[in-house]
Amino acid sequence: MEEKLLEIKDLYVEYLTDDARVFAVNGVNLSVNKGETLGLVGETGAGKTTTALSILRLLPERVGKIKGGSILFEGQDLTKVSEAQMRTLRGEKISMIFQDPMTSLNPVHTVGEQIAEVLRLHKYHHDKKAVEDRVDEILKMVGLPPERKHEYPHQFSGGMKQRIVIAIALACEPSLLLADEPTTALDVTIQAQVLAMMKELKDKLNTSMILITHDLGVVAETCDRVAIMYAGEVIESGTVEQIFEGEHHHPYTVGLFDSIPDLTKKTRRLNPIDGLMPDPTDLPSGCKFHTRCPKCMEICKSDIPPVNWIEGHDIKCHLYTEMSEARPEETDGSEVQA
Amino acid sequence: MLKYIGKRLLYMIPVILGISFILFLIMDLTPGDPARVLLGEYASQEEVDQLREDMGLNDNFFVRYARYVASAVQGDFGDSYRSKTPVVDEIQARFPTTMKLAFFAVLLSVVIGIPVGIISAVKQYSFADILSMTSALLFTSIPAFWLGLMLILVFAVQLHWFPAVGSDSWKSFILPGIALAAQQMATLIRMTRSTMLEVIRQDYVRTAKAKGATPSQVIMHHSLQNALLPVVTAVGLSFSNLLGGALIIENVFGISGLGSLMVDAVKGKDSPMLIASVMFAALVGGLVNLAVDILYTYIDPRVKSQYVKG
Repeated sequence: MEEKLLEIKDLYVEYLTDDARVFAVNGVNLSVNKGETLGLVGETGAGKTTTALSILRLLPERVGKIKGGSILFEGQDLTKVSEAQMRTLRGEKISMIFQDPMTSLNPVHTVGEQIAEVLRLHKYHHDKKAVEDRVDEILKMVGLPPERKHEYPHQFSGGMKQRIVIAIALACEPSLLLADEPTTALDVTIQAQVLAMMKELKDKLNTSMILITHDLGVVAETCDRVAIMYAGEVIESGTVEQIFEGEHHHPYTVGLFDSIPDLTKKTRRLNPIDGLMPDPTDLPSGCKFHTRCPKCMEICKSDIPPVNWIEGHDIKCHLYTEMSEARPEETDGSEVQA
Repeated sequence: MLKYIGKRLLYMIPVILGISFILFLIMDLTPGDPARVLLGEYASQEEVDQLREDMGLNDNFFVRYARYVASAVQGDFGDSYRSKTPVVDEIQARFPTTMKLAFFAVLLSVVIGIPVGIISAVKQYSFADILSMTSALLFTSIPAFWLGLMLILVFAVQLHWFPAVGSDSWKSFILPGIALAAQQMATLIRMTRSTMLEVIRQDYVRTAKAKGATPSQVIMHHSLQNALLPVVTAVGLSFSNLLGGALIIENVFGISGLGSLMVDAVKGKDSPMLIASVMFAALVGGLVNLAVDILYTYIDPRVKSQYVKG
């Protein structure tokens, strides 16, 4: 049995702008065990990044608000702790790798200084020697020569910048790493390198990770478990095997897999899911996917589907209500409730 | 870096030459005869003709310009038509006063403008922000000479805190400094605010927050240096504007600086004085902008690497 590091229960996040209320996250349930990698998959706008920013409480000021639910991290509810306490967690216990390495580093500070900062804030404070040693060590760890710490971000390539971003995130050996599409901005060969390195470092430091991506290939390679998000909800979650090889799936998951081009089959056209993600300011009633669902039933238009337990994993869909099995008691921590 | 500075200094030569040519041309085209100005209304036509011949005023325009440049290179910018003394002496005497005024105005606008702009951005839509934006709008709209007159009226005539005219003590520079700085300050407030607002939404600022940095570290260490880049440029450019603005303010406050010297030179068709003082102001403006560009390389490492390469 594994220990839960992070547990998000019934999280609601809204963005309030001048003319609209955006329902970005609508009752998300997730959990991450120690040392485990959870893949958070979904289209752009599904609420993946918002969920991650909520964990760090770094939603855009004044606009983004956590409206309900709880985020339990090592038993502490992050939605309730003070801002000062939150700062001691950021960078030290929970850190984040952002999507675009080109813009995530401060152009006017040396990369060494940017890594050193997080160490000074949390670990070594005024011990300059210890900070410098650790900067060298962490640079070596991400595969960069320590001599280059005196250089500025513009002197590095994209892949190298992302290694520096990863170095900053891992400098304090956090227990939870939030990786928001860490390889999207990189070209494919560099992607593989960076992913392999992240996986290796994560195993070495026994860090848990939430890997946000829309690339199912990346998920298959790196994740232990997967949660699929649609319109601010987790609609299916389970182990990588259950999601990739299981027999029963949420229609959206099926659509997602069908939209990957398959070279072994002779189909002439790509197979995208029809329609668009619903407008988050005006979500449909009932199941949020019913407007695009090929298996839509009458009930889907009016009733929010329950989370059904099918073959050991969760599917939030009316199709499986009759098949739903009794959920095992909360003893097995390796399963998520979605 | 030295190579770059040397190159920039060389670039200034054609600029100054160009300015001198345009000035020389304009002064030549304006009506009025320098010989007549020198000799006064009651001199006979023969005397005037004789002087024109002696001064070489009958020569071709280009010959006269070449002669002027040749002697200017040797440090001789001619004698003032009015005072009959070398113009360089007069400019040297007047220049420190104007520089003091301009520096005080720049200092004032930077010291107030930048912090107020930062506060405005950090506390966007707060009362402080609305207040500073409203006053910035007010100060951009008020003409400097009117503000100067009002300042004299309130603080010199009624309250007797500062002298109304002259440049005898540091106190004399306060009111003209404020009048001169007001518009510049308003521009800096607005500019700092908008660049700061842009910077604090950048990804690297979010990265800093994600490291656990405190709000003050995020502002001072991560945002300010980036936000100041365009502001520093604006300060440098404003310096030339301030030298021009000093022209009006010096007249309002009766300060005998470079500005009033130029105005008097225009009125009296004192060409040598006018050409030399405008060239001098242009030289100072150019040097200040060079200093700003060098400062830039210290603020932004990306700029520095460009220069080091070139």
